[in-house]
Amino acid sequence: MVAISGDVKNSTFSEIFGDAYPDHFWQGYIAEQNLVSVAVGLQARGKVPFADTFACFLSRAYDNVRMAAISRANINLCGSHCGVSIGEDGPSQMALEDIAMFRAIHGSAVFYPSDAVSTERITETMARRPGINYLRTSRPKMPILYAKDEKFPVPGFKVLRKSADDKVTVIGAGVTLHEALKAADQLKATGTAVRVIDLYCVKPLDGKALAAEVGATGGRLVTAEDHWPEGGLGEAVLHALAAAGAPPAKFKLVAVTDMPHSGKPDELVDAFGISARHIVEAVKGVL
Amino acid sequence: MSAPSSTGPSAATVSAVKEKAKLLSIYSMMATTAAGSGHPTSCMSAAELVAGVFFHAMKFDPKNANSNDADRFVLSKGHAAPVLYAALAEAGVFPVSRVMTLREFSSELEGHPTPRIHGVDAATGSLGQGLSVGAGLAIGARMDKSPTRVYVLTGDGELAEGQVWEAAAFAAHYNLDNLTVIADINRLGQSEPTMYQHDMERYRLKFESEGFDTQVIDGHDVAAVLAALDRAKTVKGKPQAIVARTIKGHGFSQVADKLNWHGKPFSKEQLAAAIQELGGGPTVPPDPGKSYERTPLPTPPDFPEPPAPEYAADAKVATR
Repeated sequence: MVAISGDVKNSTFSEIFGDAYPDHFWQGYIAEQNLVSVAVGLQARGKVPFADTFACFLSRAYDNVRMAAISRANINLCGSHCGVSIGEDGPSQMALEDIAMFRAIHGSAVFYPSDAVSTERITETMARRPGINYLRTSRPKMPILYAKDEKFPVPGFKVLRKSADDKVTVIGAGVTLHEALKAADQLKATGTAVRVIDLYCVKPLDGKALAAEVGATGGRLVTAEDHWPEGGLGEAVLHALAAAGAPPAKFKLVAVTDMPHSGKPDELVDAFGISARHIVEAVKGVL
Repeated sequence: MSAPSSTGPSAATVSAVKEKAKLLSIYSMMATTAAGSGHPTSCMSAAELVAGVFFHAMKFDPKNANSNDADRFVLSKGHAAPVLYAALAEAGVFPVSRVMTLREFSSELEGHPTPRIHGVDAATGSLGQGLSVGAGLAIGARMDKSPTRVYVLTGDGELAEGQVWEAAAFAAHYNLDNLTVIADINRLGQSEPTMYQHDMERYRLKFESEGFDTQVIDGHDVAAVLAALDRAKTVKGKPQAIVARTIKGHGFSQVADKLNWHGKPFSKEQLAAAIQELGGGPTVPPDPGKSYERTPLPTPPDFPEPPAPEYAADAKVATR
């Protein structure tokens, strides 16, 4: 395994790997196109590369990712600091299009874990999985959701809140998964039960399995993501459900729609439409 | 593969490589004419350079063209794919007749190289990426403590891509002396001459300032090509650049150094005239249709399962 970093090892914490295995860590400096193509060269010699940078800066290497797919390359790309939840640095550092970008790469897998346990286990899955694997990670600290032995199959998702009375299915990932859990608690307190799904794997999707969950809630669905509406988690789910013959009966897609700016992470998550109260509103909108 | 000699490569060696270069040009022209599309003039400027790498400098095993124990070649100027395929054929990876299936639906020999072809490590065709791929191969070789070398052929138009210089800085910073870039400076881009045309000093300064051991040669002088490749192998601590002054469409006077021939195959009549001007070439039998596709492609190696992650249940940890 080889890690190569775009001068953000102390933000993405690839330095932890680098300190443990200095001969397997390469500083790529601020040159993301080179970073991705070097990874392609490395895997051609049988290495398992993990290249990391801020998710938004992978967009400048999109041609390199595209060519890596044509190369049938086995590479792992980690984009951190996704979404408005990064806070004060502002939109130049926020990836809001990266899920769309990486979904549209042939044979890719797109992972968006919501806790440390799933992130670690998914990293291992990525190392084994051929093709281009993208891991979207977040800046804010999040509570641990899973026991250490939990498995995360591909495709797959985790149902974190479930009851026989669920009225709506709410699907989120990363910060919006945690906001969805808060929303579920708020809704439960006022008598509405909702199902909450952690969509740690945005691509590939198991449309039939998702349709079973949404079907159990009368076809009522809310998705929430720290991403633009186009091409992200919500549209991925919609496509998978429709392809499985089960488009939702009532649907709301919660995403960032206005151009963000600086602020505290919690402020931005709320101001830009993806916090618990927005999810609650969306749920009420489909009831 | 011969060791560097203080008196330069022998006349016999030069003559043999010259003959190969001529064949590479002829096969490139034949293949693109048969396909009705492709970039013969871009192949012809690189013929001596590619011949020098494949038939003098590179340690290459045609039975295992992607071997980690062999030297590697990256055609960063991917549109010159026919000249690479011709070299692979002459090196014994597949018959020359296969080269004539260039760009056909059922052939693995696509318009631009992909790893479906033995000897190709990464798809090229989007210019400016090959030196980075080469650097990745080079650091991989270093990690394996392998003595193998990596050769990257770039065009000149593609040196306008910033990524080339990202890769150059990376290569020099990590002292990748197992990496040699050969720049085919044929003066002409697609729609007009390049920024620096044949200002070889400009290119020399660019590579040298990035920390490369840099040589400037006549890219059609086989003795000079071989001497430069030999010299590159002796350089320690720095990657090497061989900046070659070449002529687009070299060898065929109707197109040599002329604008508006980028990406244009020759007509049957022009092809015949070109082959004659080059001194005549062999007949190539029709291709029997056997595929030489590299399949299956490698998947990541297996490894033992690591221990389960240990986090306190009440911890708050960022996924980054």
